[in-house]
Amino acid sequence: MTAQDRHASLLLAYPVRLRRRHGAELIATMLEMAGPDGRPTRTDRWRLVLDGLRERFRLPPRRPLAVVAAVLALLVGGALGAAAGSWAGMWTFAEVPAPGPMADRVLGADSVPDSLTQSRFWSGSDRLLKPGVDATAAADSARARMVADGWTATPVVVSGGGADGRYRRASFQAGNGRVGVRVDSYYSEDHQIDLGGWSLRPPAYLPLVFAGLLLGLLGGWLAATALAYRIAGSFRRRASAGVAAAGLALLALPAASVYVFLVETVPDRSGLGAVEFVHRALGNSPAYTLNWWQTLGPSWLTAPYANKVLLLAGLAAVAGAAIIGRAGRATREPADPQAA
Amino acid sequence: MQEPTFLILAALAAQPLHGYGIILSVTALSEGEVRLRPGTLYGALDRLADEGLIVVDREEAVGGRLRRYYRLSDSGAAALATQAERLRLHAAAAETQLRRRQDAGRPGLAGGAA
Repeated sequence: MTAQDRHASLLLAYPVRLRRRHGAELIATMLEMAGPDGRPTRTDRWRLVLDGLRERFRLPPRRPLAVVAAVLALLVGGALGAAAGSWAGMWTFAEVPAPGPMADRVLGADSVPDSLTQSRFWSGSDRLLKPGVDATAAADSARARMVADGWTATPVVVSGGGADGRYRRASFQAGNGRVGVRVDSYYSEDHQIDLGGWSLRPPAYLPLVFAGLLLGLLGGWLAATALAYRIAGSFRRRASAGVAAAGLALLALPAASVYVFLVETVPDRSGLGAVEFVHRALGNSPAYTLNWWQTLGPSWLTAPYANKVLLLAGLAAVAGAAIIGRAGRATREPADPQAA
Repeated sequence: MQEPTFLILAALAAQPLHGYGIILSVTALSEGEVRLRPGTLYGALDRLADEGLIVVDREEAVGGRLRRYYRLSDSGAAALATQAERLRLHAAAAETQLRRRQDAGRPGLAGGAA
């Protein structure tokens, strides 16, 4: 193994472009600078690596549009990273217990089943109070059973209902740190009593979202610098730059959507029964926000899954720009002495 | 044009040099003020080659190591001359200003040195 080979791994810090064109020279120069014995110090090797990493962040000089595109790519990368972090964080949420057995245990003595709904993070059991059972008494005993099982519960509060008493209900909320539950026991004619459960946000969720955001910002910038150099050195520069710009434009809306969801999701509303995830922005339209009364943008934007379509089209366009940009690079190698 | 770029072009103006030769020449030209490292040098050489300001002159293998010599292209020489002239004009302007300052600071004249 030559000295050159021994240090080849240090070149991994460099962009492919520099590694391919100047890899052997970088090592040779470091060895020459090390003096007659040709043994670079640890500091020399670290500097070589750090300079390589710094090169990865550099944009081609005198290309203002590349700077604009890189800033946009940075933001798009951050949004995709936050969505990925949110998706990973979703798996730290506790699954909601099956509504049937839970309602049987908590409300079983006073009511009969009516309907059930269940998803991973939400569940609901609608039941009917047995004849002669008072709504508040049913809520009180449900609360007592939950407290006996180790849940923390708010007091039962009777609220709502107009002069005729419709929708008047006795309610409480309970939680065990991982799952929240709400019981509403109605005084209406059908004597309904509902138990709804939902996952509470675990402490790991937001750190994962923000870690994803930071990694995404980093990845977005690095992808932009790599693509900018590829485009700058390509014979099909205009075509490649045009497709890349179109891709970024398509990605802007889904990315903005993720940021809207991020801002709306940071305050934890899971204690109030709202389980929301940042990455759900990508499964909606750019006009959708978690504040259901609010719609952003024109109506054509409200098509469901619009963000997924825009995201896939945008990523495909950026990949296409990278493929188009490959043309002509090899002939621009300064490594070829004949070309000089 | 940044200072290291200017000095690299100046180093290559007299003769073709390989990487380590450029580093030594830049250190000498800047009287030890600018010390390039391999990583910073080849990033700069790559950009200068892309801009057509330098070209590869020849390659040699010395003791099993690659030595690639670079030289200034005609456009590189023109860019270096333009920048050198610019710096010369700026230096001359600065010297003129300093002379005026000295003149204004002579004893007995109003205003004094600012």
